[in-house]
Amino acid sequence: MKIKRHPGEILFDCINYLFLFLFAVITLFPFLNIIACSFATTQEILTNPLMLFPKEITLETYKYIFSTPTLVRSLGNSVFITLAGTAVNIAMTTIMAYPLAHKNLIGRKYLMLGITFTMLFGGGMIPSYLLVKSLHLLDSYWALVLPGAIGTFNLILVKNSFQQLPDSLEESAKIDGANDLFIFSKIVLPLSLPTLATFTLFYAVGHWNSFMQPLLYINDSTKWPVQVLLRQIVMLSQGGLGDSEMLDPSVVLPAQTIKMASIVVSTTPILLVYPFLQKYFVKGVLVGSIKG
Amino acid sequence: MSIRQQFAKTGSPGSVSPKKHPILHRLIMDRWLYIMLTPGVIYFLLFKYGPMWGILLAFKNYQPFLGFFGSEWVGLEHFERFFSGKTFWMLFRNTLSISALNILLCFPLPILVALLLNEVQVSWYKRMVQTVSYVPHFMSWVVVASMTYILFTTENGLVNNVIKALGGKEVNFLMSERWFLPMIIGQNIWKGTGWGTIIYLAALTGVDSQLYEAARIDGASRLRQAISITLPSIRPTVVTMLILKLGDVLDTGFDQIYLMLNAMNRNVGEVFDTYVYTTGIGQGQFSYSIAVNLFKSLVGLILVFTANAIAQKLGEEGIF
Amino acid sequence: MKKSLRILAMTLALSAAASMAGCSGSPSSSVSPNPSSSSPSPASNVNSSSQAPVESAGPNKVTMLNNFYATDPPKTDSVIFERISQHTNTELEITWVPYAAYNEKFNALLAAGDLPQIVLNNEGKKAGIINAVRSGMFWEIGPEIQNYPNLSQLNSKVFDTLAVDGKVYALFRQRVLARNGYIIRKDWLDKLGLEMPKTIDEVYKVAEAFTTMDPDGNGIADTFGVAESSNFQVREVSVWCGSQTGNFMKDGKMYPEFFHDGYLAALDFYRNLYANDYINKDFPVVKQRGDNINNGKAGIYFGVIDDVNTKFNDLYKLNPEAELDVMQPLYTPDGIPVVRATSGYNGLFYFSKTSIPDEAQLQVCLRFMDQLGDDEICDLINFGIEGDHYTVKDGKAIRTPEQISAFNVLQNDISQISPFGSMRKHLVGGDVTPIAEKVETLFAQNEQYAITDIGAPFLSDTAIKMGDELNQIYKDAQVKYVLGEIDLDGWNQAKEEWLKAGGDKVIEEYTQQYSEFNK
Repeated sequence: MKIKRHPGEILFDCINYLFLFLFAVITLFPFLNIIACSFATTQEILTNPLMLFPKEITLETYKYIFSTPTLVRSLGNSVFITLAGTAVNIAMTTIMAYPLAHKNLIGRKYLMLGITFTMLFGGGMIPSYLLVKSLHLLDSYWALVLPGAIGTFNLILVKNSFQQLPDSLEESAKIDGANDLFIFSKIVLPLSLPTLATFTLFYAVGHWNSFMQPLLYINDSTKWPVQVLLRQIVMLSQGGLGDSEMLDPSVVLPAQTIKMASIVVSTTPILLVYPFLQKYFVKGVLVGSIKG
Repeated sequence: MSIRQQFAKTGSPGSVSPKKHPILHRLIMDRWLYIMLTPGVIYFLLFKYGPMWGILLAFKNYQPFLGFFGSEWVGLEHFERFFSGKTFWMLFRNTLSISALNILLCFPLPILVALLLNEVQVSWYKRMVQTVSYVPHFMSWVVVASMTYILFTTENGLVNNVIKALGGKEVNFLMSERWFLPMIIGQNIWKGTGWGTIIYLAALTGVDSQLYEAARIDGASRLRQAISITLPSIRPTVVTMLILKLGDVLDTGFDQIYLMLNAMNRNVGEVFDTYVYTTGIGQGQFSYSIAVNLFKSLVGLILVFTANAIAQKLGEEGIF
Repeated sequence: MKKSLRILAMTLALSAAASMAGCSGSPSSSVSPNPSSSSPSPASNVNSSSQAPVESAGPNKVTMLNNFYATDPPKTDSVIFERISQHTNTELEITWVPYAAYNEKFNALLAAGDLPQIVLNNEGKKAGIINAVRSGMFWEIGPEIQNYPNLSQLNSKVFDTLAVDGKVYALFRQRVLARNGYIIRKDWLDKLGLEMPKTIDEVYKVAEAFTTMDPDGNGIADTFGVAESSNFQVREVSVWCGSQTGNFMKDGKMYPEFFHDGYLAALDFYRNLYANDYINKDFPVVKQRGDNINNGKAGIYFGVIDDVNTKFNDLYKLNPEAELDVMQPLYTPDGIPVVRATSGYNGLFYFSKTSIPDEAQLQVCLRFMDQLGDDEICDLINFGIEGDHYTVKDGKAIRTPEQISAFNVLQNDISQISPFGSMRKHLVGGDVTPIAEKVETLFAQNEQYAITDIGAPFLSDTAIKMGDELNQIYKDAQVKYVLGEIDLDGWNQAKEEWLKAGGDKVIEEYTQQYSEFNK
C-alpha cells in the first residue's frame, strides 16, 4: 500500500540523512587518519599529521610489527579471552537475569538489593588480587574470565529486557506443561536475540579492551592480550612518561608509525564484531509468537 | 503432553497444598528459578562480597607487609583529612559540574541519535552510520588526547587555523579555564554517542511493528508515531540507564581528565579521581584512596536509591 | 524436563570445556613460573627458594621483578641469559612488566605482599615504598655491600642518598651524573654564522636568532628557538643561572631550589622567551619536547645530551642535512662551569623479606647482583656474544650494523637487571658515531662540575605524605608566571602558599636532618 508522504517528511528525511552523515564523518575521521598514518612514512606524519591518505604509501611499518610473533600471538590471546569470556558472561548473566525478571519471586527484592549494592561498593584491587591468588587462578586465563563473569550493570539491563516480554508467553507455555528452564531456553532466549546480541557485544568489547586485569593477574608475557602491548607502545611513543632523565641512554622509543599501525591492528578485529551481530537486531521478532 | 505427565509423576507441586503452606508452595513451584539463580549467587558471594573486606581498609592504615590484621585502625582519620583539605570543595564542585553536564548533554544524545537512526528507511545507510559511529569508543583516551592536541593547539592546530582564516582571533582551547568543560564534554560526546545508541536501538527492535501499521492506517504522521509509539517503548530502558548512571555520578574517569589537566585549568579540572591518583596511588597511600572511593560510592548509593524511588513513584519499574 | 536439563548441562559443559581447552597450556598457577624461563641447566636441585648454601648444591634460584621498554620482554631462553645463568650458577626467574604499567603492577604486588625476591622500584622516595620499607618489608643491605667486590665499587655517595632512617635497603642502577646540557641545530648556527652559546644569555640570543632570522632558509617564518614541553627544564636552566640542584642552604635552613634567585632568573628567561615567541607557546600541553625538533621547527633542546643518539632519528629522516651538536657544561654569570647532576641512578633494587626467607638466600641474591659486574657479564650485557655480535680489535668491540640489530633483538632490555647498567664496561665500543663519542667524553670530563642535591640523603615525613600535593602549588604557579598570567607578586605569593600548606614543615625537617648529618 503506497503511503503519501508529506513534503515536511521529505525535508525531515533530508536533514536527518545529512546530519547522520556528518555525524558519521566526525566519528570516523580520526580513525581514517590513524589508518592513513599507519601506511605513511615518518616524515609525512611530521609534516602532515592530519592526512586522510598518505602521499607515499609504505608497508614497512606493518612488515616490522609482524616480523616477530608477539603481536599476532597477543591478538590470538585477545580473541581467545574474548570468546571464552563472553560465552561465560552471557551464560551466567542470562541464567541469573531470568529468575530475577519474575516480579513475584520470593526474595527477589533482597537479591536485587544485594546485587545493586555490589555495583557501587567493592573491596578494591588488593582483596580481589588476594582472592584470585588464593584460588590459584594467577597466571591463567580463568583469572580474566571468572572474576568478571557477571557485570552488574548488564545483569540489570538484561533482567529488564526479559521483564518486558509479555506475561502471556510464560502463561501459555506453562499451561502446555513447560517448566521454567524449558521456557527460558526454548522460548525466552530465542525471542531475546537483540538483547543477547547487545550484551554479547558489550561483554566482548569489555574483554577486548581490558588491560589492567591481564596486567595484574598474568605474569607470563606470552599470554598477554593485545591491549597490554598497545599501551606500552602508545605510552612510550607519546612520552606520557615524564622525565627522559629517567630513561636509559640506550632506549629508543617507538616511532609514530608503529603506534599508528599497532592501533589499527588491535582495534580492527573488535570492530568487525558489530556488523556480524547486526543481523540479530531484527525488528518485530515478537510478531506471531502469541498467536502461535 | 508428556512433560505434563512427567510433572504429574514426580508429583512435587501436587504434594504440597497451596492453602496450607503458601510460601513453601511457591518456593517449590519456582524451584527451577532458584536453581537457575544458584551459579549467579555463588558468583556474587565469592567474587563480589568476598573481597568486600577491602572497604575496611579505609579505616586503617594499610601496610602490605603487616597485612590486614597487623595494620593499625585509624578510624575516620582519612575522611577527616579528605574533608578538611581546602581542596575538597573544589574537587566536589569540579567533579559535580562534569558529571552534571555529562548527564544533561551526553546522556540524551544517544537517545536522540537512536531515534533519528530509527527513522532511516534505507537499511544499508542506517547500518553503515551505526557501525561507523561507534568506532570512537575504541580509541583509548591517550590517543584521543593526542588528537585533541593536534586539532586544538594554538600552534598551528587545525581548528585555530580555520578560525584565523575566517578572520578571527586564535582561541586557547587547551590552556584555559573556560574551555576545559566544553573540551571534556565534547570528547565525551564524540566518544560515547555512537556506542550509546546501541542499547536504545536494541530496545527499539522490540517494538511491535503492528503498532506502527495501525497508527499509519489511522493517519498518524511520522512525528506522531515517534512520540506516541517509539518514545514510550524505550522509556523503561532510558529510566534504567539514567538510574544506573546516577550511581556513577562522582566518577569522572581518570585517564581522560588527567591527560587534559595543566596548570591553567587545574582549578576547574581537578576531580576526585585525579586527586586520588596524585595523593593516593602516586604516593602509595592505599588506605587514603580507598577512603575517597568509599565516599564516592556512598554518594552514588544515595542517588541511586533516590532516583529509583522517584522512578517508581512515576510508575516506572526501577531497578528493584 | 529431562531434555532441557540435558541441554543446559551440555551448554555449560561446552563453554567450560572451551575455556579449559585454551588454558591447558597454562602451567599450575600457584607459583608463577613459566617453563621457558628456567634456564636449560640440568634439572638438578630445582626447588623454589632453595635454602641451598651458596656454592655447591646445584643452581641457586633468584626471582626478580623488572621492567622493559620494548614491546617484548627479553627472551629468557636466549643464549645471553643462559650464559648469565651458567656464570652465576643461578636459575633466574624474572617477571617482566611493561614500563608503561610498571608502577601500577608494582604497587598491586606490593599491596598484596606478593613480591619476588629482588624488585626494581622507580619511584624514588614516594610514600608507598618508604612506608613499606619502614614497616619492615625489605632487608637492610647496607652493611653487606663491602663484602662484594663489584658492588662495593658503586659510588658510596649515591648509597648515602638512599638511606632511610640511616639504613640502606637498596642497590641502585647507576647512571651518569653529568647528563644535562643542551642539544642544538648546528647547521642553523653555521648558517647564521653563530657560535655555540655558552651561557644562558647567549642561548637567549641564539633563540632569538633562530626565531627571527630564518635559519632554515626557506623564506617562511616557521622556525623558533626553544622546544619545550609540560615538563619544561627550568630546573636545569636554573643551575646555569647560579642556583643549586634540588635544595640549598640559606640562613642556616635548607630551602628547596625554587626559592633561589637563580631559579627566578631561569623563570624570567622562559618568561621572556614566551613573551617574544622564541618558544612554542603551547608547551604546557606538549608531551614530548623532542617533537618540535624532529619536525624541523625548533633549534634548541634542553635535556640529557645522550638524547642526541636516540631521540632525533625522525629529524634525519625528514631532513638528512640536519646536524645536531651538544654542549656541556654551560657557565654561570660568575663564569663557573656547572651541570645539574642527576640522582646518579635510575631505579632501585629492593630485597623483599616475603620471598627471601633468611640471610642465606639474601647472600645468594646479593652475590648474583655482584656477579653481574664481572667482566664477562658486562661484555655480554653491553655487546652480546663474542663472534656472534662483535669482534675484538685493539681491546675494542667492533660491530657491524647486522650484528647490532641481531643483538638488539636478543638484548632488548637485559641491562635492566644489572646495577651496573651500560655504564660499566670491560670492552669499549669501537664503532660509535663522533657525536656519541663526544657525549661519552663530556660525561667523563664534566662529572667534576656536577652539582648534586645536598638534600638527597634526607627524608621529610611531610614531604613523603603530601609532597606531590604541595609541589603542585609551585609547579602550577611557575607555568602561570612564564605565561605572563601572574607577575612577580603572584610567584612570591605561591611560595608563601607552599610554605603555609606544609612546606615550612618540610624545610624544618630537612634542616634538622642536615644539621645532624653534618655534626
